[in-house]
Amino acid sequence: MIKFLQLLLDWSEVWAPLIPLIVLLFRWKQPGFLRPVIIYLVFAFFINLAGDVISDFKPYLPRWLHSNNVLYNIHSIVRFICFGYFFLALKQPSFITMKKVLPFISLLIIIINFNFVENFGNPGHLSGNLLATEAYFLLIYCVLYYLAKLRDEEDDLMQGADFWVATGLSIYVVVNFFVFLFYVPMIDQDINLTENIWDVHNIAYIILCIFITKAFYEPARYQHAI
Amino acid sequence: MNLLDISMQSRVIIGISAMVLLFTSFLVAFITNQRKKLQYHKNLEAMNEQQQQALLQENIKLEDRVKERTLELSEQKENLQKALIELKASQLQLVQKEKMASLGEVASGIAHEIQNPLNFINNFAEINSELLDEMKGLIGKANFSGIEKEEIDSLNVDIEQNMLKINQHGKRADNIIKNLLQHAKSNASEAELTDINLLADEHLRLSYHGFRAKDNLFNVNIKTYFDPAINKINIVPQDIGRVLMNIYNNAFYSVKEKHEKNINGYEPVITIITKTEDGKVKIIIRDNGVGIPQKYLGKIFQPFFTTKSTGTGTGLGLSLSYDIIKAHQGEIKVDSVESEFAEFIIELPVD
Repeated sequence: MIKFLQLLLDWSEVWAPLIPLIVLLFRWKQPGFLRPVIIYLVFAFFINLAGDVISDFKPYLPRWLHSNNVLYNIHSIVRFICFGYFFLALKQPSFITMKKVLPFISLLIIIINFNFVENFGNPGHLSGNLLATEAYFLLIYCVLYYLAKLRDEEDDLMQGADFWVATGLSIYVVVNFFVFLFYVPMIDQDINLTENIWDVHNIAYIILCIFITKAFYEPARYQHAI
Repeated sequence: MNLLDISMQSRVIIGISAMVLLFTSFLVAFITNQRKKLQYHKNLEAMNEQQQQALLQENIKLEDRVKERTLELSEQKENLQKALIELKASQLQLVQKEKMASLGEVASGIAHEIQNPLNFINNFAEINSELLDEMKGLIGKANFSGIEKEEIDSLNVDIEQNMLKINQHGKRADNIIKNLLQHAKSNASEAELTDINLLADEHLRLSYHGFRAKDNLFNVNIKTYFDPAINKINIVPQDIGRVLMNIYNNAFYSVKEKHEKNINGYEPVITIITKTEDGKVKIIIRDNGVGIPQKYLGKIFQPFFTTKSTGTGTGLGLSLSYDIIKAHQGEIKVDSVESEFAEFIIELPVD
């Protein structure tokens, strides 16, 4: 039973995006700003499927396909692009310049990281710095989103698809910022603890997908108000 | 490539610092935002207050203007109403004058027509008297028996008495016609030296006879106290005569009305007094009729105001009288106690 639960948790990165995607089949009419989220979910499903297949069926695959770390790096970059675009598409009147500048700063940090600190194609481990940077900048986006909401004096802050997406993402990045930051050094110190900590990441990922599902369920009247 | 190795401690420091920085920024931004909002709301409230004040002041100004305008309009309305009343009064006065003029002309024509036959009656009555005297002389010379002479003397006495009555009443009729002619000369409106006692007396008679003509059985005790020392004064006799007529008529009407109530021991009395006082000639006309209620005393000189029953009075008599007396630089006053008396005092300047 525990083994089954562990397996379920290990494969959560594959089935979790399916929850909002299945809901999307019934509620396919969604506002424009959710389009990058939908694209992300589709992309995440396939890339996570590839990653988990590589991870669990390594012996049956050719040697060059024995590492899925690059896939996680690509996933991180795509996630940042999609959610960054989502926040820009919200058309909140506040912090527009800052939102536009953030991708460039993150790009600069990533370039510095892959030039001086990490190797992008390292088969030994994923790029913890890249993922931590991505998480941090997405967190900045989320904070800016809440500040903009407070500044705009909206009657009900907890309304709208954007709120549920931003909240799910906030939970995910807050939890995983430290997971990503300490992931690589922890591999060398305690591999079991690292794997257990990755379960925390998976749980946070399920939460993110559930919140996105909730966003797809949000009634149309709130979505038009954005 | 030789890559940098970031230690666990460095990662902890970087992670915590990044998070602290982020949440501090969030807090600072949040607090700043809240302060801005507070400031904005304060400014908004201040602006709102200012606007309210401005609105209030504008309202007060507007109310004042409305009040002023309303007052102006009320004044205008009052003036217009006054002008309308004056216009109506003038119109009625004109009509009245026109009527009086017409009546005067008619009366004058009739009087002239009657005057001639009346002169004949008077003259022939006098001639008859003379002829009767002559006839008496002739009868004295003739030989009649005692009985016949007695009968002739008796007839003579009767005829003499009849002639006397014809003469007396003829003169009275002559007098009335003269008064009528005098009264009809209203259009002349020329001021002349007039004996006020005579004028008061003449019009009293005219009014009384007019009243008696309507009701033969009605008697009034008329008391006159004319001051013989009053000199002639410069007035328009027709106009003052009309005033006197109006007041006399009212007095007769009043005593008659009270008389009709059959009050025990009531004797209608009208008193007319003329005198000179403080350089003015005063004519006091007092009756013990129904009087004028206190609430109407201030209104009786207004045009169209009357306490008489519908069709009996026009409400113009006293108004006209008031205008006439004013035109003579005089005063007309009234004093009355309801059910007891009414007293009109006309004051006319001697000069």
